[in-house]
Amino acid sequence: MIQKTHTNYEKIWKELYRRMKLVLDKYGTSYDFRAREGDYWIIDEPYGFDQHNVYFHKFKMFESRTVKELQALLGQFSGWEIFVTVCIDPEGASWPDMGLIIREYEIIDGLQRQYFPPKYQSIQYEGSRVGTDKD
Amino acid sequence: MGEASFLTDDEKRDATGSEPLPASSLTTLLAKYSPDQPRVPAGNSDGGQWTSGGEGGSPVGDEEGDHELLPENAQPVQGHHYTPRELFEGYDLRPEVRRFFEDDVTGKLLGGRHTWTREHKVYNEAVIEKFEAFLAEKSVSSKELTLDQAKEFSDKLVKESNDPRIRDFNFKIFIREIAFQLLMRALRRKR
Repeated sequence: MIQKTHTNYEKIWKELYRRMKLVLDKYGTSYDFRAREGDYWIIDEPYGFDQHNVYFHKFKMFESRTVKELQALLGQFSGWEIFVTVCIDPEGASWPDMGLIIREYEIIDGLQRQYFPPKYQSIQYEGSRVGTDKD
Repeated sequence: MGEASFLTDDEKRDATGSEPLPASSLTTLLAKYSPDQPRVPAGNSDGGQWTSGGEGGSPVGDEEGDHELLPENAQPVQGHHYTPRELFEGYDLRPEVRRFFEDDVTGKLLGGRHTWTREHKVYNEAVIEKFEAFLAEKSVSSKELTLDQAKEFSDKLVKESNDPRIRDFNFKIFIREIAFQLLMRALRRKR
């Protein structure tokens, strides 16, 4: 277990970033801002909370195995969470903000599947629950 | 200050001055911000950050022992890069230009919890779009960009941008920076 102090926050942040990237690179490519193409993007600046943020640009990234592997990483990072944001913009459509919060022992499921293609509407995550305003 | 949920309302008021101040009163917060307040000169590794004035002043919120003042869940971060990492790591740039972009950050921020918004990606895309347009306007390649041109780009097309994709995100960051300065000032007074 990696213990956090004020002085090693960024070191922990970087290590979790590195491990997340190893997982996500198995299932997609990192977003290229010049070409505006790619499957995911991990926000690359630490913002102070025990939290990483990743944008998923393709539905395939929401497969349960991907999310499960990200969750498994948190076993070594007590108290940390991963915010997954849906960053898919179908042409001409405006989608609400939605996503997942992955924690070591639970997943907050804030996906609004009615916007997803039928193939992805049935995705379920083990240990997930609907979020509340306290999340 | 709304981000500083570990503070009581009284502590938040204390952090923002002696007079009562609604945490949501953006106007009041902004009235306390003086754009003329001295900043560490650009080029310095702390370039652009507020100082307490005087020569060689260290950035506010960077005093010895400040970290120990903070509750464990209030983790200050070094700042937000005005120019996204994808730009200064993704383009072929002169070393001094790359270094400038790397060091071109806000002052320390009070961490803000992200939500499921896409604003960060939108910001990065917009800044890179402006950068491409800037290169075209100057008729230079990224490798030919001078340090002065990089500073001009950062000042005019990023920090002073009127493009809502850039301006709105920077404004949120700016408020976090103010929150951090106010919090540290209050905590130091209690020390």
